[in-house]
Amino acid sequence: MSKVKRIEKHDFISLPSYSDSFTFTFNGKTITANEGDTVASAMYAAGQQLVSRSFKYHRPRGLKDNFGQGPETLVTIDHAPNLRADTIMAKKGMAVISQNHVGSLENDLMAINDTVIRWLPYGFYYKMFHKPKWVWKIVEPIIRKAAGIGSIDTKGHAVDTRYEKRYRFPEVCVIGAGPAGMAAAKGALDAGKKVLLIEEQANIGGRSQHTFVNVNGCADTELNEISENEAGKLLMFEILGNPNLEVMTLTQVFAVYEDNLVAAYSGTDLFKIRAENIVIATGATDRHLVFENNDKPGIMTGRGVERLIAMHAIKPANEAVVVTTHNGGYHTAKLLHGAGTKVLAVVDGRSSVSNTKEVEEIKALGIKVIENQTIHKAKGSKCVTGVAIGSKDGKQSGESFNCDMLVMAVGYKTQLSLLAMGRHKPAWDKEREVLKITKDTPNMYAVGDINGYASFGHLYNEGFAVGQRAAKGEVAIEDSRKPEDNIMALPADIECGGDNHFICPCMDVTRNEAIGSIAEGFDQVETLKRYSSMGMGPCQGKTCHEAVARLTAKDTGLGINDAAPTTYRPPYNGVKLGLLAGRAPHLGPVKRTAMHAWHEDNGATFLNAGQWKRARDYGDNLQEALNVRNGLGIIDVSTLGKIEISGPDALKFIHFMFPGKFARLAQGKVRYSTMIKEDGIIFEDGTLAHVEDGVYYLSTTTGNQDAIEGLFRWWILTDGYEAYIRNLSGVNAAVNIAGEKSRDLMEHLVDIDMDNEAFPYMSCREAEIEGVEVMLFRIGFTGELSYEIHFPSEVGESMWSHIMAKGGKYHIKPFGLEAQRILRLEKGHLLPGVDTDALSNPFEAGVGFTIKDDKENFIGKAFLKDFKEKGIRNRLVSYKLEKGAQIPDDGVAVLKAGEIVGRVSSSRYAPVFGHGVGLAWVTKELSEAGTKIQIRCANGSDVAGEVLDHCLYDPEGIKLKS
Amino acid sequence: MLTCPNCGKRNVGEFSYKGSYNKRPDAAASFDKWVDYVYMDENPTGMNREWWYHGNGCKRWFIVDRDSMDNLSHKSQWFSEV
Amino acid sequence: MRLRSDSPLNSAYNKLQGNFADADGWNIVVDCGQPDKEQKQIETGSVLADWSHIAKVIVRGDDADEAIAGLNADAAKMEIGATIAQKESVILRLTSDEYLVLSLAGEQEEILSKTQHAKVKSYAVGGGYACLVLAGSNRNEVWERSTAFDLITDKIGEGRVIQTSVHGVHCTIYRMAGKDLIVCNRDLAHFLMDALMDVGHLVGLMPTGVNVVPISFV
Repeated sequence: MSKVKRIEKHDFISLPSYSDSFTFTFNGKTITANEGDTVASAMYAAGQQLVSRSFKYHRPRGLKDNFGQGPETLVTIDHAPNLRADTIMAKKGMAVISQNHVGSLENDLMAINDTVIRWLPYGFYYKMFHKPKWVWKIVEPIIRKAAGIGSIDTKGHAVDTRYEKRYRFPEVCVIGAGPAGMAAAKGALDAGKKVLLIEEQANIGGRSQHTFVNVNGCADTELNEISENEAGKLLMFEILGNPNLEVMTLTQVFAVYEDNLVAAYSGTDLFKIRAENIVIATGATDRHLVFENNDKPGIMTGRGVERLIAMHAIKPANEAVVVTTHNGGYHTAKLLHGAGTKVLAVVDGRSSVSNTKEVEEIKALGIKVIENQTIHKAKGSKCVTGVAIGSKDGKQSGESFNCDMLVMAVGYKTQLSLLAMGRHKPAWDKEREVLKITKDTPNMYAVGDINGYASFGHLYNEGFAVGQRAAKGEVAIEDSRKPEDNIMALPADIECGGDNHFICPCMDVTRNEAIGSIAEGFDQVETLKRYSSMGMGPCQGKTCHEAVARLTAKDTGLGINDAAPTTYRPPYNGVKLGLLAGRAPHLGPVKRTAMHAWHEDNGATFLNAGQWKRARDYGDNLQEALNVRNGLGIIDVSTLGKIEISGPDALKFIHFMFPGKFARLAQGKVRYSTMIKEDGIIFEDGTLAHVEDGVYYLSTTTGNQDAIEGLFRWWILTDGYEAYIRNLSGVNAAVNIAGEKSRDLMEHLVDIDMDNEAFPYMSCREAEIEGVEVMLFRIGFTGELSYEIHFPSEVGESMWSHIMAKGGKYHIKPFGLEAQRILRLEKGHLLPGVDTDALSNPFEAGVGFTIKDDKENFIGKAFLKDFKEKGIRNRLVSYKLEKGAQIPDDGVAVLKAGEIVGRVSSSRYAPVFGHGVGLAWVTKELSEAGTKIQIRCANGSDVAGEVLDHCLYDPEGIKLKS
Repeated sequence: MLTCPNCGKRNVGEFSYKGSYNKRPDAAASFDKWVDYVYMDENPTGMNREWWYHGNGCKRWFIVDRDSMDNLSHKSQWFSEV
Repeated sequence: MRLRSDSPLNSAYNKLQGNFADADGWNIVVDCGQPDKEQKQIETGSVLADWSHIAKVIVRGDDADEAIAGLNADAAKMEIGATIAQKESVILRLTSDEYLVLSLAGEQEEILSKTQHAKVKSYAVGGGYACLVLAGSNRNEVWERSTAFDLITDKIGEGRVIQTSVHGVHCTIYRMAGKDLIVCNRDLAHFLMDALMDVGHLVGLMPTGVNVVPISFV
């Protein structure tokens, strides 16, 4: 392992100075970091070259592109797995540990995979260990344990992390703050627009942070004749001074969705950015070259090395060989030399290298330049100790060098993901030898190295012009590149022999494996990807997509112009689920009634009924149910939907919307009704009361008032009813007072005549309680004499307290939803949505009496007619159990001779009887009163139910009507 | 995003979709016609006329002619304008 | 004596050290224990007050224009999303056939009688809606964490009304100088306030009451 170190001085450039320095640990070892270091740069400066082990073969891996694209730098930091060390800023006290090895990182016992797996057939996990079946049972856990990278923190150290969702609405959003991005921002700002500039690195400037080539040809003449690094800083200061610019750094854009929705995260904040116009300036990264042992630690990209030197003041190696095909490699070599690295040679793949200024400078430093050759092989076990070069076709060997670093500066591959995802497939541009997107998307622009490499001056001009166009939403300009900017592409794989040509370093897929898979028939890039898994790893093809496209085209006999990568999809990088979930512990809004605080203060346990929090019980639901049967109870039923219908067509409308007839429902009367959909299925029930002349008050059980109002308004719109709807669901609160003493209590509350003749069952009245106008309904659900009171919700608390105070002498007790469920079950009443589902025909459910199908036209008529004609096949019946029998859960099966012939929809213990009762769906044959049905409980035991043809509690309804 | 004729362009999450704009058969039509109306939907690739509701906005129903291929082009109008 | 009215937000404000007093028969929060500090917070951050006791009248129907003209002739001519306000009341035009009139409680009877019409039965919603007021120079920080609708640029200016969802709750939002009035269904009001305070307390939002942010619709 080579000893690398920080440098104080560089021969050619000024180095950044850092005031702050601190420590963190890597695998327990203390690492010193400077302010501005990433975890990876600090580790590298401390001499820690080995960072991880590869997925399948457990090959040693280390810092490669210093940009976060590949899998080499995946580590666990403070219990969070799979973070790229080269994108995470180092912080004091971080605990960084390496992943994916058994035993130590240096001596990974699983490295045996490298030998063993090579002997297995390609895609062995698809083909082997399945026959005989029992072999898989043994092998699967082993493969499962070996799969995956990093461990989930099961101790929940990060459980209190707070994730926030935030919104932005810029006029122009520029993604990427390199030279072109900054210029585009400037162009849009110049046009007076509000601009949001997003950058994934800690600082803006992009490649200008480490490029020292002189600028020329820039439309902003002040930036000419200075180094790109200087020019970048000046441009940065200029735009930062503009109040219309917002900059976000360390912010990763992970998708650009339909209608210009940019999704990005910054730390624990998720940003949803709706931009009028988007400029994508995500640039290009060093090309991935495939050759023998191309995955060894010590092999780095040109820009990766430049960043180490210029941004972190690190001398990357003792001795290095640079492989290149353009001036950029010479720039890198010069920076290496200035940092104190001995550059043994610059190996240039071009057949003849013209003497540009950069080439001359290198030669003047005494560095050997070798033309028309390229890298063949890297040597070394845990890291590079030497390289061998040779001809580009791989056939002729050349020199060997002993060195601890190999730099690959062989051109740039375009970062098309955000531009392509969900939109366009890239195609191979044979002139520029890069993948390009040629189709335009309205209000979206691409600028910069993403269109192919160009000089700073050119990128500035293009960026500024595009920024101006983006500001106005005008059609994008045709981008151009000078021939001298085109960078020759080496063969995607240097075919020099050997088994370790890694196309996909994430998934350890070699060239041989790719060729073998194609031979097995997976000869399309999409199927080849899925069979071999290349491009399916942590980098999702960012490293290898260009190589995969080119090599697949070659190996399947297609021309290079048909090279096409696999489809880009969001997210660009892994996104934590917490970020997507946001802050809410529950995922949706919660509804509370006006009396909620009273329930809370009086020992209520709540349950969720849809969005509602309802009091389930106040400590003893069985006692609460008995209170109603033996005395007096009160329940909060404010969650009922309440809709008032009036207007000249009110009755006509009601006759269409409901299955029954209401013309003879006199004022002051109430009727039970179901609601049917066009497919004849019951979806709701409730009561319709004729409260004032021509005014009807609908009260619905499940409280889905928004949906019902929406439905009513749709019919009123499309069929032109002159009916007026008022949704009073939130306006009114409601309680139900039930029990034989309820009339006594009511007489104490109101002044109107409460006698049975004056106010009979199924009627409604208006009254006043303590100055508040209320509506009273005599309806049944619990089976006791009861009154439902509807009143304005703002007096909810005071009304409830008033009733409780007045009811004290009758020992009134509150009862919750659970008690109510028991009481209604003792009366055999169904609940839509509990005892019915999307297939419940009303005739079978026993509510056929609510249907008057001799009406001319109403919702559901056609299907109800069909149901009636087809006859009943199943029935919803009441049943009872023996005393002492186990009470089954809701939803268990009803069996007959081993076959499922029905299910229990509701089941409870009925305290008033001392045994269980319920409702069940059974076949017609089993629905006669007295039939015994076999109910299979969840624990596997059976109970016998007896079908009833009437409810057990007060079947005549004497109490109800008293 | 979807355009509401009352409120303008909004996030699609503010709306709910009812179904295709199909004419309801007469009460006396054959049962087959009713089955088609309730269960069958053309579901074409390309332009389709649909009912949408702005539940988290103005709470109004309106009609959208939408290209299901790309969602980008759509025209919204009131029922009375169709 | 009529039974006491309570705002649907009282239990939420109770947990935030709210002080209550009677206003027009309603028990409503007046401040949260530090009225001077809450007052100052309007300059540097934002505050959330409860105006749920105001009158709310819905005027909706095919002839809503005629009905609203009975209250204010100009209101019938304004475009959708516009408002006409005085100190005591404001008329918000929501759609071509719906207006929402908000006012001091005492104005309710007059508003109802002036907007009655054969085909439009205007009605008071009363406790059916809650009204929160988000006031302060930095309330954008709360908005950007609460809704996907753009309330942080100047797209929707003063004197405008829009309807959208905030933290998943349907809201009618009326923008005034320095404050935004948020009207929502009373069943969801407590949830909405919890959500606004949850994101807001990290960016300078404090709860307060009607003494610190007195009712005015201009």
